[in-house]
Amino acid sequence: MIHEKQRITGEMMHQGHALMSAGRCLGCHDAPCSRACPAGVDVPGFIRRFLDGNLQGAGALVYANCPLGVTCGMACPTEMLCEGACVLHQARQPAVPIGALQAFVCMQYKDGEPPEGLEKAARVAVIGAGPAGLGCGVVLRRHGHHVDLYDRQQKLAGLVDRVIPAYRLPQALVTHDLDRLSSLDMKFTPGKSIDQQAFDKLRAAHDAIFLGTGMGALQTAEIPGQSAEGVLDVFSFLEKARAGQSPGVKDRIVIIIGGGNVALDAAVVAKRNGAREVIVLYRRSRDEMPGWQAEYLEASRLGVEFRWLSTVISIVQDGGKVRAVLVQKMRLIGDMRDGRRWVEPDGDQPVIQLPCEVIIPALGQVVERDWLAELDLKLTSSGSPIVDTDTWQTSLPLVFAAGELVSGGSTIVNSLHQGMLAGESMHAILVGKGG
Amino acid sequence: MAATNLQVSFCGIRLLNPFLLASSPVTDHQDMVARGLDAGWAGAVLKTTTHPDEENSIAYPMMAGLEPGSHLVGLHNTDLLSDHYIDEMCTQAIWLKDRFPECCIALSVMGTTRAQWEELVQKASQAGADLIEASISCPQGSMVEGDGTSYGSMISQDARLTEKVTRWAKEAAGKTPLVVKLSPGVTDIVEIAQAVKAGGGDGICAIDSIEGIVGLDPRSYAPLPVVGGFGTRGGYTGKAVKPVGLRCIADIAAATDLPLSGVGGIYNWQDALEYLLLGATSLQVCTAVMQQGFGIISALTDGLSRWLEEHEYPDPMAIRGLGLKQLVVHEALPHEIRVVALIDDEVCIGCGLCHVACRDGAHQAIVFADRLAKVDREACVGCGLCQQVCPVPGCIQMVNA
Repeated sequence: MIHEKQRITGEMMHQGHALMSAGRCLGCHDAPCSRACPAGVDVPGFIRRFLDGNLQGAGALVYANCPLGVTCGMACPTEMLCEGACVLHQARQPAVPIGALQAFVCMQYKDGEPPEGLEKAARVAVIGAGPAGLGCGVVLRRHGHHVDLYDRQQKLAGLVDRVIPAYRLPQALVTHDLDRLSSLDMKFTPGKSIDQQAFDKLRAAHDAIFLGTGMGALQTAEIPGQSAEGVLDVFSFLEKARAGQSPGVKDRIVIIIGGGNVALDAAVVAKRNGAREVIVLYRRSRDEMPGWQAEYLEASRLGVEFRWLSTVISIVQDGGKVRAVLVQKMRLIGDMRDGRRWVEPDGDQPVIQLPCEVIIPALGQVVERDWLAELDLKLTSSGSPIVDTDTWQTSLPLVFAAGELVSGGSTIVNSLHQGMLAGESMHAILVGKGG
Repeated sequence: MAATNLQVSFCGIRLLNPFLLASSPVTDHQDMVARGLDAGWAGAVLKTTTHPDEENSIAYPMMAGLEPGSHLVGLHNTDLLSDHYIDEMCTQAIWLKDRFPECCIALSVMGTTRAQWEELVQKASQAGADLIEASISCPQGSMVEGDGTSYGSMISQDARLTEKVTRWAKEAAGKTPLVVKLSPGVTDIVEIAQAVKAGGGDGICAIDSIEGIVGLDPRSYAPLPVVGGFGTRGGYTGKAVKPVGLRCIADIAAATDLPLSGVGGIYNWQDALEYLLLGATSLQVCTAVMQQGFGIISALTDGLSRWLEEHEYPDPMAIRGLGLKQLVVHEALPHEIRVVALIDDEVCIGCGLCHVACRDGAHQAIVFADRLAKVDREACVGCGLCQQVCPVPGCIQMVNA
């Protein structure tokens, strides 16, 4: 389980240990690990180059398909993707630690990639510089087009570099991936908010637009008392912690509301930042919890308490400060909604009062509706642009979109890959070969 | 990105890279070869063919491995010549050359009489083969009638025969370059290489497989692979034969100026580099492809071109033979150098294997306590055995004492 530990703690393997692990790879034909990778990384190929002592070739091969090679190696739920598909499981042996190996070879990779020149290069604006936007930009640059990146935030890589806890994905690892992309010379404009006017200006100045703004808004639930002091915004909380600042939970009792990965990250971060007690309240049972198993196990290991079938019905205050939550127990009912069983309040159980000092709701993310709704775009009921499944083109000509903005909550690698696919489609259309 | 030019010139033939598919089962049919060339191999020596007068009956099974599986040490075979006789192989060569004009298409032939050698080589030459390889080194049943040799011995084990057959073949080949393939199973391979030169050969390919017995079946006592209760000597190839191949290439390179095609245990680009540094210009691969497929070519060319680029060599020709001057006789080694083993505690996994090896195979210089190995620098002579048995690459270094 050494690699599990490494993934959780963001540590690099030693080269000797990495070679030992790599030596276990059978180099399978039509490798199931590569097939299970949303980006289609050539896993046996990069492992073979690594074993041959060709580290630069190994890194180059990963980065060709996955421009955030270190980030994905460390942050992907590999047990559900490449490592989950490893043939060694059939022999009841642990998988090759592909994620850790990928991160290792990518960290050793030194070169950037020079873009190909294109005589009639187009100019493309990429709005949102997270994984989807970067994936799209990288592909377009590789084809020689000019790429202008815009993001509301100051940094590249979107939520990846803002809210993933540093112990899982240290800053230096993301920086390594981004440094490698710097030779592609994409022009980044940070702190750029987009509204209809700004969008129209960008559209006039560019041959095409890519929208990769993801799901930047938090799902809200109207809980009485939620404006009390001590109720924290989960993104701000995680951002503070990632930046190395105290997120303000030391010696406090912290309640986390939700069962996704963000909730689990918040719970672990609270615990690691000295919270006296951390309790996760989730309104369904563990079976329905969307958070990944590895993250749940890590939280449990650190002593985070989980209370299933628990909904907060109101926040108890004292002088404007959080004092407790009132918890209604739920029960599962047979109805399936979005693939999970639904719940209803269990009238036979009394409402419980749980004392606490900090409350962090983490109820999931949604697409921000405001500015998108102003554009003349066809949107789904949840506010995502509707795109052509082959070309990623929206209802506006030469405006494309992909990633979480289009497909909803997903993995970094999935958004990255969607951005890359959209980039390929944009290139084909821009040079007149497709569409 | 790996952009170094990998082109080489071998016996006057331009190769896109040094890597050729060796005469073997991997080149026994045009469709297989076409897939290999599509994957990026620079050419192929088609499987050795002969005259239709010769009986060519293979007994099956014909393969047995030393430590079979993904860590196969060596592969033993009792294969013979191609099922396709010379005319059919010439047709395949023409078809391949038409489809792959940039690639080197070579024919490998083996005869038993002068008339056969002449006919085989002429046909190969007329078919437009880029190269002709004379196979006088296959451990399974080559012979020359009426020349005092018994069935089963190899022409290339006799310098006089080697020169004679080389001359027959070269005269029949006309302008087509003739490469002669040699066996490592000789007292002095330099003597044989010089016989190739004297006979007019244009190049040498070394090494062919090593004659051996890979193992016995403990129930029937028959050599592996067992065929109806019996077995036979076979040709041994793969990773395990690389040291023999490198030594032969180095010896030949030091003694002749003929272009050399290195073959024997090439699995990765570093193996390839070693053959080039010891004097080879082109390289041939069979067993690694039989085990892992034609696709390994991308890892071979990628690794080699990156290394060349990193070391600022323009192409593989630039490194030919650069390792020969570091190869000296034992007396010429600097005996005053003193090294000791250094174990990296951070990396050591506490297996104790170095301790056991040193205790029972060397100088009792590694203490093992609390699952930690420590080197006694006074007792360590610096033999390097521990470094060879440690399962963690890079954990043990030999450092100046």
